[in-house]
Amino acid sequence: MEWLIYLSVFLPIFGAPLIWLISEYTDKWNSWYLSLAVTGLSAVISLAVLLGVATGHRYEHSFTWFSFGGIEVPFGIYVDGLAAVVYAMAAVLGFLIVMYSRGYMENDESPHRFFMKVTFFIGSMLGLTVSNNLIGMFIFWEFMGLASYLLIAYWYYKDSAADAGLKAFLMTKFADAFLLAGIILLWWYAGTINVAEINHLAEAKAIPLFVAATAALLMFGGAVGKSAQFPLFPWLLDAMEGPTPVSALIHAATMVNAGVFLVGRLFDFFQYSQVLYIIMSIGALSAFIAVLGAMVHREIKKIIAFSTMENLGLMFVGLGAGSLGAGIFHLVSHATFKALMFLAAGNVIHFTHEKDAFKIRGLMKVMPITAILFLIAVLSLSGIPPFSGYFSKEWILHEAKEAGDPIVFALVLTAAVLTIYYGFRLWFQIFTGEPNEVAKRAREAYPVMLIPQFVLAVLTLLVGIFHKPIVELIVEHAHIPHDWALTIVVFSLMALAFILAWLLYYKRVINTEELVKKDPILAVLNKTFYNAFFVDHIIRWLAKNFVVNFLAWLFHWIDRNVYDYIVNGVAKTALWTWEKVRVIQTGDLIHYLTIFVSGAVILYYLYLVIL
Amino acid sequence: MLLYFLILFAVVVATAIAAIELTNLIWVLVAFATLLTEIALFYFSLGFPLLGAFQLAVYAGGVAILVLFAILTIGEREEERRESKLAAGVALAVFITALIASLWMGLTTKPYLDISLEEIGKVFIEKYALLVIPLGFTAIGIIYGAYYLLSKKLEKEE
Amino acid sequence: MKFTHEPMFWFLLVAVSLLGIGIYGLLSRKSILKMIISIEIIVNGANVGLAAFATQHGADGIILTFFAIALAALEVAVGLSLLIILARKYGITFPEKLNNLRW
Repeated sequence: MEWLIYLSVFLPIFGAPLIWLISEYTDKWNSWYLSLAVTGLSAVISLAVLLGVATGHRYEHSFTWFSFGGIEVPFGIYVDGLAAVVYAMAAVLGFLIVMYSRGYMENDESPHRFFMKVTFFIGSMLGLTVSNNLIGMFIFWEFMGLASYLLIAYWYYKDSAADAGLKAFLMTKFADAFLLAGIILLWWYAGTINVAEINHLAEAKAIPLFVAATAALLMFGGAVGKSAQFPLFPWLLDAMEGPTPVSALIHAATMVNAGVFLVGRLFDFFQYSQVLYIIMSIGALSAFIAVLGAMVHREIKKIIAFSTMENLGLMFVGLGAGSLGAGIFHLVSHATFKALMFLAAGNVIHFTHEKDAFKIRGLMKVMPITAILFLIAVLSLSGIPPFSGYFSKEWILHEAKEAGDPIVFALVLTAAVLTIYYGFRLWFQIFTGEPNEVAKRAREAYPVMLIPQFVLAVLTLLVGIFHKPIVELIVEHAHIPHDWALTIVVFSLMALAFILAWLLYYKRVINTEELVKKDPILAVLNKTFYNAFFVDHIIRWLAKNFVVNFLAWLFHWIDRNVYDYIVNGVAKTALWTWEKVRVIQTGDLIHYLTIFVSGAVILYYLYLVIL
Repeated sequence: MLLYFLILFAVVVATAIAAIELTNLIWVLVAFATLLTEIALFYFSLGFPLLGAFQLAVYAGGVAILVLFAILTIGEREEERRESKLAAGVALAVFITALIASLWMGLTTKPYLDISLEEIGKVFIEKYALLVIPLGFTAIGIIYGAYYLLSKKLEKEE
Repeated sequence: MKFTHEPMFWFLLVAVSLLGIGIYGLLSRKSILKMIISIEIIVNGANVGLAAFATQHGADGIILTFFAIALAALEVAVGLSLLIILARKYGITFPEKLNNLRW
């Protein structure tokens, strides 16, 4: 069985270039069939593994990849409940999104390029989930960063897309440096990078606390970059330049969850290292910033991107508050409804050719199925039972309340409540009212695009209904609290938010654009939230002034004055020596012979003396 | 006994110096040939008649004639004399060094071995035969090379 | 007539003298022909030394001397042919004219 797991990881990774090759020389759309087959196989394997784990198996295998000096680098798989759930989710979602892409990429000239990259990405995500050691996870982490770059900059001829890809890659790479530092530090002190062993060591308190805290913070730094938390989140917004299936797969359902998954995998270690409070705070802060940003943006995908950032923040809040089950269950449930939301948005964007939500109106009459699917996604996002979002968000809110920090709880509560506002703002704006010209030229999506969305809608419902068994898989002896007081408070606040959204965007009582332009306070607030508290600008300013102007200048100066000086100095010394030495070469044969003979004599005396 | 040895020694040194210092090249050749013959006498006196015969055949009969041909080709010109003090100094230094070295080695002598012809032949065949064959080919190559050099270059002048 | 009772020192003295005279001839600026002759003198001196030591160590020394004589003869052949080329073609008989190996 273990080899099947290896197959499901490495077949997509190594098969991706093959898919491209085969499709380059035969029909391009063969790549879709091949990609479906590969990801479908991985999905089936992952479901089988999930069943196996549900019935009590664990899948482990390890071998030494290579060793040098005294260090042995292992490689292998370790599939327990947590890994199996995320693994299955990633594989199934990957398969569905590949299916969807057939419709979305219909007009592309080189779809095999797309399917190669997507398949490669899916393989590396699966590898991340089943890997049993930190170096393996890091390798797949980097692969995903590469695939993300390739896919965001898929339409490479567009400057904005190319820049966005580079920005994403650089920001996540910056964070990856911290991750690697944390891994190395941990390896040095703990002597092992096997995740199970690290957790055991942490439970037994065998790692010095200072080391554990530093390593945990560094690794969390890597997670911050990958999961788009404050302050390394601007790449996620620009990453919406990529095709929508890419956004659905990478930036909603799988890659950005890698950071959460990392913390979850090493949860005992993180608990021991006392950094959970920091994790929780950053998660709460990111969620808060994201919600405010989502409330004021216009582009569909950017709103959904902020929503992803918010939910990732919530996941970190859940983990940080001490509950592995809360964080990971929200990961799973969020994946289903966020992917659904992105795919439905993809329907809208593909058939109206419009990215700005405020240019579309009344789409429900033209695309009714999409409207319903989108509605299901928004409901699940907002946390309405019986969809999965309700169960996971309620749990996280409860954990945040129990954690005891009032600021964190206030931020989280605000974020949770305002979600329904921006969700329905989007839905009402696009789908209700009378269709305008943009809406009229659309048509309903193809079945190949709708089927995955149906599956996801059903999944989000099922995950909600069957939340207890799923949570039991992730964390044994899970206790899902039902805090009725909290629920009532939250629902009443949500009702208020919903009424506000309904008034503004369904009834359209006020024209919000005019209002924002006229009122100065609202204008300032709008600008701040829109630019996500100017974090992106600050990062750019830092990059320009500190890195480019100072660091780069410094290195350039060192290069010119120190290194070149040394190199030129060597050359100058050589030339000087030559000037002095070449006098010996008189060209006179007798001179040479004389020196030769005298040298021989002197050497003989030296030989006598030394020996 | 020692007297004859010393006479031989004196002749050798005299002819060597003459070979270097004389200006008329024919006389230089005569001195050179005499020197080679004296050296063969030394070999005879050491008890190696074969070696002496070989020296006579190769050197006195070969190299001296070669030098004669060279002189004939170049011309028995007179040459100017130029002195060099440094050369004398260096030569003296070498002489003294080698003298010290030989003194160090040569004062204690075991009785001279009497090596017969058969023994020489036996050692030659057993140990050095394999060396001689490539050496022979090398010799052929060298002679041919010298011939080639001469023939090529001289043709061009004609 | 064998000088078998003399200590070896005298033979070595002969060899060393020839060596010294040869080196003097080589380094004092005589014509190229005389340089070649000086080289022959040096080699002969070495051969006398070799033969002298062969009396102590056996037949190997004599065979080495044979080789040395043969090789020296060959080398003189080449040297003389070079000398003839130089004299005929370039008119050089003194080593000062051969000064291309300079900076």
